[in-house]
Amino acid sequence: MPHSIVSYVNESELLDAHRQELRRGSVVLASLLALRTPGYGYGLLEALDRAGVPVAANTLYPLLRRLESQGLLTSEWDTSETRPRKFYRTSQDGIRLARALLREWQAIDKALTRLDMEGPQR
Amino acid sequence: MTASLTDRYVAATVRHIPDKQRREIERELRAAIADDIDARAAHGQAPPDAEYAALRDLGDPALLAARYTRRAMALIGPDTYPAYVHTLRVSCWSVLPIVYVVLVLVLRAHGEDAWTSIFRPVGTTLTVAMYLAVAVTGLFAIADRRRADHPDTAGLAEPWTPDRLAMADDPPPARWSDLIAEIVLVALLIAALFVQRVLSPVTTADGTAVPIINPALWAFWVPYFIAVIVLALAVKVVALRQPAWSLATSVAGTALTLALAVPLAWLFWQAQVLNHALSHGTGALPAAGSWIAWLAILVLALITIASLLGTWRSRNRNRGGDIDAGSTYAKAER
Repeated sequence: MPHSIVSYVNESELLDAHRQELRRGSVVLASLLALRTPGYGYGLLEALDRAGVPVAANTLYPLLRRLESQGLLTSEWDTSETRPRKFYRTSQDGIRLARALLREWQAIDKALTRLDMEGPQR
Repeated sequence: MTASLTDRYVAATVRHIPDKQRREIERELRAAIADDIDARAAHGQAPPDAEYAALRDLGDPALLAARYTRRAMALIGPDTYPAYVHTLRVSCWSVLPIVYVVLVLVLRAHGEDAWTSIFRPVGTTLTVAMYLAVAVTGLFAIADRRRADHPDTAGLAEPWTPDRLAMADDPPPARWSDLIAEIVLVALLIAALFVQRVLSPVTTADGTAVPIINPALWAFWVPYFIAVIVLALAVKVVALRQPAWSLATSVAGTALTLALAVPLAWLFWQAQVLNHALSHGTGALPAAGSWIAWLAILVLALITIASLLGTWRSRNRNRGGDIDAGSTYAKAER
């Protein structure tokens, strides 16, 4: 018997699950690209949402800290406003990595498009 | 002032986070939650509703904390899981039948009727199964944590290669997971030797436990057997570290197997292994050369032969490897 962790009730749930899987890796790239101009947690969450790359808050906040510990982001506390916020900015390493990831992303896009074109039913 | 929902949420999250990161995560999380509440309030939500909704969207604090600390969210991760299942299976299949059979024999020798002898050990065997499962799971959970903490020392599991595919008739190459299974078994065996002195299915009239193993053996033979078993395990560790079969380890393994089997068979023949008190010194148990002795020696002989075959067959496989590969290429060229 095949094992499935979740049994999907209908097709849209199945689509959601696969879409989530497909988008998961893009969050790092989107964050690195967006944070070339400094931003803070909630601001980035909204910016990514507006840009069409919605992320869950409980995924994004820990991710920012991880990218910082990997040296891909730098951070600074801004205490000039009433609410102190931690601002992140993509580091030089981060920018280099983002470029490499972006090339990868575009290569996947091209490859998938080509596969689609070669498909039997057009 | 009572703590707000946000206070309680932040406290629940940072409780699981190490001290040195706690303050900063707390500050950052508070700012993020406050920003979220403000944004929702700006859209016209009442502040209490906005706070409730913001926290609901952030989700379970334990999950958030686990993501911050990148703590493993599984007791036994996918890297360790196959070895875990293997060990559990091997230890259950080897330990439980032995425990059951020994208990049946002991109760029967003690003079219980057939039904009691057959059914009473079922409960004890199930209990042993549970202890076994808990012990193996615990050990592997610890091993898994250690691997996750030191990913560079994860060399215990060598990368998989096609060499590991089981031959139709050959034993699969020895692996660390096999050895872990054996180490667990030996540890359990030694523990059982000690435990049976105080915990026994058979008790005297005043309730003191009657050890299953003859107490006189502790003077020399039990320490001797423990030493031999531990040595044999050490030889296996050495053998596993060598990529190719070596004569020295196979000879040492054979010598140790015989050093274990021959005295044990002799002791069984002399009816010196099982405690005579189990049957009040009557029946087949204390008699030299009885059916119990024959049965024990037969089982011992089978185990010894299987063990020796295993030791020497891996030599043939390793030697034959090159020739096989050569002939395969020759065939391909034709």
